[in-house]
Amino acid sequence: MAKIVSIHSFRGGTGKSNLTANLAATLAAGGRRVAVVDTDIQSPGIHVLFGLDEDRMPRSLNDYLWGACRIEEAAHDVSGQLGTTRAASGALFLIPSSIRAGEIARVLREGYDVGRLNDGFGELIRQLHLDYLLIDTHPGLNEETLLSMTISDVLLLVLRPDRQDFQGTAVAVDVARKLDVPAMYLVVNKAPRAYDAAAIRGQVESAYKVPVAAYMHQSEEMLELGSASLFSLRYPDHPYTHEIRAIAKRITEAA
Amino acid sequence: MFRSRLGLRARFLAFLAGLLAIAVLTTSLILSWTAQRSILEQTAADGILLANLLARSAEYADLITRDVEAELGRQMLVEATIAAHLVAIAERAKMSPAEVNRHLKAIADSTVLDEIWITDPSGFAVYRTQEDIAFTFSPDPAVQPQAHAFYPLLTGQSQSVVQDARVREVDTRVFKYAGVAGIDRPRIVQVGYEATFIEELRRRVGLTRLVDELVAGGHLVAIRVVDRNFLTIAFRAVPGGRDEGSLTNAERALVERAVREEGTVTTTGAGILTVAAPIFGTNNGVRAGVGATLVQLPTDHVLRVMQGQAWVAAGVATALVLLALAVSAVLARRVTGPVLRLTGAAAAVEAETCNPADLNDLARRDDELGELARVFQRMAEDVILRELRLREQLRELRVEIDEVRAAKQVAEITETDYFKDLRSKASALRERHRSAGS
Repeated sequence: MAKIVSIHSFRGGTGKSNLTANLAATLAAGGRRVAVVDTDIQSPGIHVLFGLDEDRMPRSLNDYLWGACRIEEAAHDVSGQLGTTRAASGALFLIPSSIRAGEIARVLREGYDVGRLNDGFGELIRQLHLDYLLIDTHPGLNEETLLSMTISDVLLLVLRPDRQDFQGTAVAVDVARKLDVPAMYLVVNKAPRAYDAAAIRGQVESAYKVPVAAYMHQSEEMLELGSASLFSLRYPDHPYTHEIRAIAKRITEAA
Repeated sequence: MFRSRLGLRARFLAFLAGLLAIAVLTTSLILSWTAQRSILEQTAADGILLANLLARSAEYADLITRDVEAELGRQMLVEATIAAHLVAIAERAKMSPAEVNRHLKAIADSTVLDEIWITDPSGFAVYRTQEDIAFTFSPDPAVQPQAHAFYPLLTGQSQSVVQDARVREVDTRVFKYAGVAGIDRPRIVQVGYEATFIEELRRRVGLTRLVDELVAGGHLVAIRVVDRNFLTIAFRAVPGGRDEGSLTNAERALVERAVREEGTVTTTGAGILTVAAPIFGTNNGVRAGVGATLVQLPTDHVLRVMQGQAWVAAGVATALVLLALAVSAVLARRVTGPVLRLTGAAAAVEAETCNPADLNDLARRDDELGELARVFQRMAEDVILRELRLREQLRELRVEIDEVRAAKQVAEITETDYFKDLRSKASALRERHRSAGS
């Protein structure tokens, strides 16, 4: 039975895409069949983390949304990124958004049928025999994000410990509750080292009544690596990687 | 912290002390070696000077005694000639040999002349001052090594013969003989003179005295002057030194070399430096080696001088090393002290107990350590300020949510038709995907 996991943050810049990519890689390396859909059509970026460039992306989510191809035709097998450590049964797919300026402009101008996106998710699960479908959403709460939340078995809300994110996350949590999302977790990311992790965790959990699945610091190694490759595979013993594994465990155990 | 202080300072000191010790020892060794060389060279020069001086003295002594002896020889010929005339007159006057001998003895007794020998044509000494000795001249040098030289006077081959003073073969007394041929008939008329006078002259010329005084004056082990036959003319050794004896083989070889090379030669061994200088004189008008002087000087005093220097060097080295250690200890404290304080300050920054003002005195230094302290102070102030700001931020950080605004934003979303529609279909949608999986 496939699980749909939406990764969302109220504001941009929370490290959401990085977290999604590393989480997908960790699940796939553990022997699961995983696909990542980049629904951040207006500002795509996750493909870079999987080592995909424009020339190697002949089909994208945009093509499917406009009826130019079937959804599985836009799926790229990026299992090779996992290296030699993955279990044989694992697989990793990416359905990227187009990074062509014209196609991005067309989406903004014309919009698209959100219902078709929902159909596509189901089709993907069926065609690729997925265990997990990870949806990297656009920040804010637009229609496709609301749809993603609605159909999710697990919702991860990523936030930084600052006033604006606290406020925005309160809205996202409330909306998700109204949509009866079965499992919801918070991920505190990019926390300054001077902060007391336990205190922040406690405050956040009591304020939102939502468990914190992971608490991650601003990582210098991560800044150094940039978006060049998957951090958790490169630094298997780094605290960040440990936290990613903790999230994977929560997802796996969620009903 | 204690370990690092010990390490840095100890290494500093050990390095300096080692360098100093090496420098002082090297200098001392070079100095001692040079000193030894120069003392030995000086000793050799002294020896050469002395040997040459003695050789020159010996040459003069030889020259004077030869001149005196030559004059003596001429006088003795006069005496012999008078005796030849006297005996001719006495024979013509039919005097008996006994009577003649009495006259001759009277002459010998009352003058410095010691012997008179007058032969008949057969060579038998008919007239003589020593009546108890019956002597006949022989031409055979094997029989009479000394007297045979006068035989040619009997045969007319020679009219006069003068012999050098020498040790007589019949006893050990030094005698000089001169003779002339007979006036009236073939005879040998010989007069003899005990030449202690020549020996006395040599002594009076000063060679022996000079040798004695030189050795008595110290700085010398022994002096020996030898003639051309390697016989010792003069010898003197320090009390308790070697006996006169004769030349050792090594000394003889040295003398031969000096004469052959016509210059001084030296050799060292057993704490003694030996210098040999040749003596030149004229032998029948030709310059020739007539002997040599051997001067022996001690070299063990060189060793003593070196030992003395070594003690001085060791003392100076120890004093220098101690001084250097003391100075380095002070220097090291000046360097490592501030480093220790900076290390402590760094630990204090980590423990958040640092007060940068504590380093003010160190920061006022105008050397590299002062610069380090100033940089550290600035850095510590920055760190403390940053910590303060962060703590301030943390104090301000509260998960405060504007519930009214949040509710309004939520309402804006939930009240849309899209949301209402979505919500109504939510469980159905989820169910649909759930069943879609593998």
